[in-house]
Amino acid sequence: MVVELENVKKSFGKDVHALNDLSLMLNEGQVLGLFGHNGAGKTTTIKLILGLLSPTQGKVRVMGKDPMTHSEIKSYIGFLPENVQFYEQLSGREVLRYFARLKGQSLKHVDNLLGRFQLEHAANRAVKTYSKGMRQRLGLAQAMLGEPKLLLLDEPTVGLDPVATKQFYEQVATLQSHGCTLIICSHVLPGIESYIDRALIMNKGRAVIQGSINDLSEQANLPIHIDVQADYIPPIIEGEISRKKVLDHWRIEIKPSEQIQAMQQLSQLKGLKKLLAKSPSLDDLYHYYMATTAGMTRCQGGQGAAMATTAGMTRCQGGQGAAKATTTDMTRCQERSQTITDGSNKKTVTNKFSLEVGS
Amino acid sequence: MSEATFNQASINPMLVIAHKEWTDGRRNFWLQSISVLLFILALGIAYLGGAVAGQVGFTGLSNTIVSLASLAVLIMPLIALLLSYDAIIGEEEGGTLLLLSAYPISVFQLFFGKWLGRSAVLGCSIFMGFGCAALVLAFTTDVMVDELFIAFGIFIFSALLLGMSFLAIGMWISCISKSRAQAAGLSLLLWFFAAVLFDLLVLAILVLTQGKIESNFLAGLMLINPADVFRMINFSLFSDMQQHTGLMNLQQDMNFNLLHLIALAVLWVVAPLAMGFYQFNKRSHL
Repeated sequence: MVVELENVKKSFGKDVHALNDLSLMLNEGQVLGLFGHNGAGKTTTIKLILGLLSPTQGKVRVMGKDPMTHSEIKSYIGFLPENVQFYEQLSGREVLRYFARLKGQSLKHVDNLLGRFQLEHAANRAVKTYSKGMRQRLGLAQAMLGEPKLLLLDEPTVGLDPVATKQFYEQVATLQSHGCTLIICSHVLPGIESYIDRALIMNKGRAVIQGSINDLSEQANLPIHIDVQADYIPPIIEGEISRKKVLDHWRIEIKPSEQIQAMQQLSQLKGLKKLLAKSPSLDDLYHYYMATTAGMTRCQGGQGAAMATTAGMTRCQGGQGAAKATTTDMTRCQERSQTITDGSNKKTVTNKFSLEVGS
Repeated sequence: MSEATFNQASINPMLVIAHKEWTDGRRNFWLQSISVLLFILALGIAYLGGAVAGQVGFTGLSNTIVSLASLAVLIMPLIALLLSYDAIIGEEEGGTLLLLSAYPISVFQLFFGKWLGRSAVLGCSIFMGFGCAALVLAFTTDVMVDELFIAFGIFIFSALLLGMSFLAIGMWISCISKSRAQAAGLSLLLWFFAAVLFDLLVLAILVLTQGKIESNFLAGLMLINPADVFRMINFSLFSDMQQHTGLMNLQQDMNFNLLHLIALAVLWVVAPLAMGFYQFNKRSHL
């Protein structure tokens, strides 16, 4: 186990609870996406893993050791903090050489890293002349000094152009194939889904949900969007939740369980010009889960509201008198039947809120 | 420090940090500008120091050192505080302090590496600035060369201690401040108090009490200010100057032992440094 957090709680003083009962296990070669708004507890989690903070309660182990007392493990950790300003008057090469020496690494790899991050042409220029993207690439090169076994990256793609972002993701895949464990923190990274094994969504110091993207999708049960353009579209499609006209085509929301039937039905349409199905993206899932917890907070105050807890997430039951959650993320409320499993009990509840997530 | 030594991976992180601070000092032109400033200051005083008394040209070694000490006591703390006030807080605001704490280096190595590097910048500037001035004087005046070098040697040594103690105080301020601006403000306040206000206050007490207070007490009071300790060292050595002004008369009454004064100056380097390290250590383990 590379990273092990067991029921970790971290408070600052009496009133500030930065982390509450967080558990996290990461094996060698796993990539975790750690998502949440500002103040969700991402940075505190990273600081705990780096051994810069001690947990108020619970256990933190990195490579089997307590990072607070075993600073030697830092030689195997790469870190890129959010908003780091490197020494402006030094050149890119000098900055990397400085950090390589501090890590006790040979300077041979510095030029190699500069090349990997397309900085060799600017290697001898002062960092103050670098663009935002170049600074970020320098930061990433710094984090990868000494082939770390664990990489902690806070907002790694901020300032990167699409080409550099893609190259960064490819680096992530290469590192993973070499057995490096990665934790990538972000508000949300478009396009990262296929590079992470697991996602952990945090809100106000708590884990909202944790699991693979598939787990998250299944639990959220968000509708599939099908864009269709044809001469005639029947008034009801199998599993249809809603439809709306978008430019020259219709966008139909389908229950995920009935997407195959719906696609089959639509593919038979006369004069079919366009048929495109889109599963919910990580962005949609993130907004869904954030809205769920936000809605939850409101529901708690509503008359007659009840709580149902599923694996790692809290959901609001839409019984009579339940408060309607109308957050900015949710553009529409609609009634929908949903099965929620909480391990021992299986029950059907009517979910009064949620669903269509604002794009 | 040569590149060759640094190519060894196992070099002490403290030296790596000190070397980087030294490079910063050079790139920011701190090293060059402080050296030139001190050089011009020393030569200016040597040749024009007597202008007030109607004399132009070099008027003697003691005169020069005493005048130089009076000016250095104002300017040296300011330079040292400017060099050090952002040592820690600057790194924190830039985000690199958090990054460095993820590196396998200790708080001790980071703090003293920064201090060492910045001390080297200050020390070299003092040595080059005043040293070159002494060389010019050796060639252009008829003062005995050995006398000149001993006098300037002692002066440079004491100026170094003065600079180092304010450098340490600046590091301390840097560790307790919440922002770079706050550290700059605190440094300026402290400089004003130690270099300007303190002597005026002691003088005011002396005048207001019309000598009823033990002069020993007042002279003792001056020992709590590193700027005055520096002045005492120089004035006690070059005491053929008969006309001491203001507070230095007090010091004459006391006749402090030179070694004690030097020990006190060293203490003024060590104590704030220890306090700074204590604060830094506390800050990094929140």
